[in-house]
Amino acid sequence: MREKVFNVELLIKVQRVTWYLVLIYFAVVYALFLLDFAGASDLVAYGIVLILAATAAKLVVMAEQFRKAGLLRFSILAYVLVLMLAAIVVQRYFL
Amino acid sequence: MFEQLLYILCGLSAGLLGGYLGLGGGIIMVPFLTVVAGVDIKIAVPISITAIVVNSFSASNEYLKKGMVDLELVIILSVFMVLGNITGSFLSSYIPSTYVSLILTVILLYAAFSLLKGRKPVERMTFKDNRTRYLLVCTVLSYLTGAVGALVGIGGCVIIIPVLYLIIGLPLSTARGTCSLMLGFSAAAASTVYFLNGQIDVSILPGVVLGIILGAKFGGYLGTMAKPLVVKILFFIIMLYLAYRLSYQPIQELL
Repeated sequence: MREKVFNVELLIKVQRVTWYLVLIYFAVVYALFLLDFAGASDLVAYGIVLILAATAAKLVVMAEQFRKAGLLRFSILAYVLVLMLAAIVVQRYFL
Repeated sequence: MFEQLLYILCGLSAGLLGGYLGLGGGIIMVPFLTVVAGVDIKIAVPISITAIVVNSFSASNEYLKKGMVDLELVIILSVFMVLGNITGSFLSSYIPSTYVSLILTVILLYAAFSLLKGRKPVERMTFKDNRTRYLLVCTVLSYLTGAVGALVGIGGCVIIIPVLYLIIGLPLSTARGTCSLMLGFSAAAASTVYFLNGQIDVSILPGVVLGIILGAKFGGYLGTMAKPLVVKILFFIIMLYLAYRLSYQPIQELL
């Protein structure tokens, strides 16, 4: 019954797009590493940010799908997870 | 050049086996990086945790397509695994590598024998039927699993899968699919901590990520068609082997 109201297809699409993005990005960075490109190390850091941002985006998609499915408790829990990830960054940089 | 190829091979093997078994691949990556590539475990663990997040993108999609993921359970477990992961990440700076390896060995042996022992005929526990017991079991176990998982550089699914299978009564395929999606969230928190502390080695990560993103895609696809007996036997063999490799050196040091 849950699958009928929770749009799983949207979650699959988001993950598929993320998969291609991460694959292409890290393939390029890997090639730059093999060519001894000076700025390759900096690009890896942006790649990690991309991975973490994509995870947060996936959580927001899940939270919204739970909300639309009337499962508010789980929607709130999903947003709590996003907040926890954000709190780690805030704690490191601002506190 | 040779090292970079080793890192891709590491990610590829971790992705294939991890995706197939519904694990993050940390139990393969950490020993591979430390034993084969000669990387220190303190460097291998943050690399492994970050690669586990990528593994989740790849493998969980295959399980989602087949309806093998309990989405509500994913969210409940994730919140408490993240809390456990954060605890474990901070504790990792204070615990020596020897003890970290021994913890991983105990976890591997526990999971291997639990699965091989077989399943008791338990009725599937659901949130609707018994909320208090269900939440208590899920939250306590996922918190503890998250803490230990972050300490040893694994997503924690190596423990959570037997728990969901043996205690909650989830089918083995659904337990693997649920863990496959959940570990991305729990590992993301630990990865953020490692990243902000500058503990991720940027020269190793690209090769490992590239390998795992490709390996997990195929591993996840194959995993959706896997027979439970094959999964159990694979779990058992891999875990016993890794337990031996990881515990040998620390035990020699302690003796």
